[in-house]
Amino acid sequence: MRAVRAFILLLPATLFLVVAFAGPIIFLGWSSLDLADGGRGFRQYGRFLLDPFYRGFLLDTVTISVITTVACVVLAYPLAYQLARASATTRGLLLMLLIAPLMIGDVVRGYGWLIALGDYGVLNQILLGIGLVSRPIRLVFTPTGVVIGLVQVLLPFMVLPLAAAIGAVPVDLEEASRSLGARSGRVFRKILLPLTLPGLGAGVVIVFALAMGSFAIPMFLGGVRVKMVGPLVFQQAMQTADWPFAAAISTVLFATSLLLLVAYAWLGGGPRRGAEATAR
Amino acid sequence: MEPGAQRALSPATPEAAAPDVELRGISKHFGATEVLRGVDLTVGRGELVCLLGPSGCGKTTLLRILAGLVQPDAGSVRIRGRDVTRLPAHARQLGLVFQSYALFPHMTVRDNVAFGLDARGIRGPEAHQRIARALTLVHLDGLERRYPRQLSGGQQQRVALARALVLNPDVLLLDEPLSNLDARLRQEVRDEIRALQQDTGITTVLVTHDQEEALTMSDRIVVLQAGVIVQSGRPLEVYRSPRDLFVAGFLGEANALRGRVEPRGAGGAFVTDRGLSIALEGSTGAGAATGILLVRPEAIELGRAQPAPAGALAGVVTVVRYRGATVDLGVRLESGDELRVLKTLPGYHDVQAGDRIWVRWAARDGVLLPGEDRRA
Repeated sequence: MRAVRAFILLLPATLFLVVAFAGPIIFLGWSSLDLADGGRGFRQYGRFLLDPFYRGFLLDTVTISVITTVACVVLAYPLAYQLARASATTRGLLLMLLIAPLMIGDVVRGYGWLIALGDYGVLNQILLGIGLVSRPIRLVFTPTGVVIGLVQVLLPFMVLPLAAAIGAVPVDLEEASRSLGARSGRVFRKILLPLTLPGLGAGVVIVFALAMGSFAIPMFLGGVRVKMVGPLVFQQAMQTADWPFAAAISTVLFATSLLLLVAYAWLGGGPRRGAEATAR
Repeated sequence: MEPGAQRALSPATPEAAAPDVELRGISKHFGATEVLRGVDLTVGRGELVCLLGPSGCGKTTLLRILAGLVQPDAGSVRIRGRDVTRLPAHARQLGLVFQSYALFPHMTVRDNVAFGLDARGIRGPEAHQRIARALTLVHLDGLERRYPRQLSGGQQQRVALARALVLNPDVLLLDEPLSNLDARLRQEVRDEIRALQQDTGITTVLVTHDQEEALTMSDRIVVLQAGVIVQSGRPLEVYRSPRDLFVAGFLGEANALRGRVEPRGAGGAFVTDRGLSIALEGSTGAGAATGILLVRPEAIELGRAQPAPAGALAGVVTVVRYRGATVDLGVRLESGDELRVLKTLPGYHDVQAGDRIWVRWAARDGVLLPGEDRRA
């Protein structure tokens, strides 16, 4: 009886996911095998992974995503700590500030960054104005610009799981370690970091996957000079109309994220397994 | 004997002459709430002092100030003569045991105990030796490789103790060390901690709201109420001569008869509001017009044999509650005053509500308190 009820309750969401998620992915994988001559094969994958020009897109995307993820981790820890340890009122306010940018679409933010970081944008005007630089710094259409934009967009996805993980670590543990003679650095390395690894892992997986597949930010801030996979898929599908190739690239992206997720689950996604894994 | 008196006899080094803990004028606010107000506390070497009081009295905050986890608004903290008021927790040589034990869940018992040594750069054979010694001290040999969640509550508590003691701290601080243990285990661990403290001679400050814990474990009890020390003394002393109704009620149970002192007979008499006259020995409360006479329930003698001895008060049993080894009786005296009487069982099996009885107590068991709250 309970099983039947659970089945009925799960049915709508399951059906929706099958139709709207699993279906398109299968279709995507299937269409990536289409060849120009009407046959089927993996030649599209070969083209993407072996041709140095296209492989450059993949490598640059991975590099930018790694840098973005690391920057997010470094920026998110102190923020998440404050968030987790703040009083209820402060926490509410911080959360609102953190989530507010998510209400604005990527396109708007991309355009905003373009204005802020452009050669004669707000940032360069200020730098020029106070005489810190004599010529505008090139940020737009460089990897640095893309990383800045991605970090801003993706930071909340790192902060939220981290804050949850830090919140689950009793303050007693920090105080105990301090009373045992540990300075802040040691408290972080020996207590907080190991105990929040699962949250950190979740944040890393989410941010890295989102960075790998990002489109609007690289489109606005990277232009044609920064080679990222997201805009490449768009270009192949919409401009070149090479659907099988676009499908192959998308499948590689999807597989990368999936692999990451599996690795995370295998390394111990749960807090208990995570704690054990770090305990030697 | 007071440890202070002991030291005064022997000329010692300045360090040894200073008490292990010296708090002067400690005050603390949290927002608009005043948690501590001008608290002075001295703890001598090897002494076990209990900070006793209801929740919210400031006892835990005082312990945390001592540990360096909370900064006082005013006052100074000295440990072994050294002013540590501005010293952060990690720089103080104190062993703190949390109510929750605060064991590191991702570390084995051994690594938990090794943590403080490692932070001080003590590793290798010396660390190994000290860890082994600390674990033997708390009877945890053989459990080095276990994780905290694989241990019972009592074992976890002992890991927390070992983790603190391995550093040879100047002072051991215990925050409600028994509150997370079940009643049976509590007695055992209580005796263990006390024995351990006496064997090692470590100066200890213990925070508790449990009167039994305070009475059985401490050399000295410091009773706190609303951020102020209301009484400090040896357990029996505080129990026998509570300073006011609050202390009397918090430390054990007490009958409080309200009335006035009147010059009757040789030493005067205490006359309750209901008109009952009780002879007083000496003139303990002379001068205080109104007062409260405190009598501990176990100090009252109760009998049924007639005629009643001279000076006994006649009454009726109103309630009988058996508590196993003891029986808790409610008695209404002829004057209408109500008393609680606690008796050890053999001999009182057949007392029933409605029985006509008499009660009496030795004059020295009646404590006379001024009628008005002195601190008001």
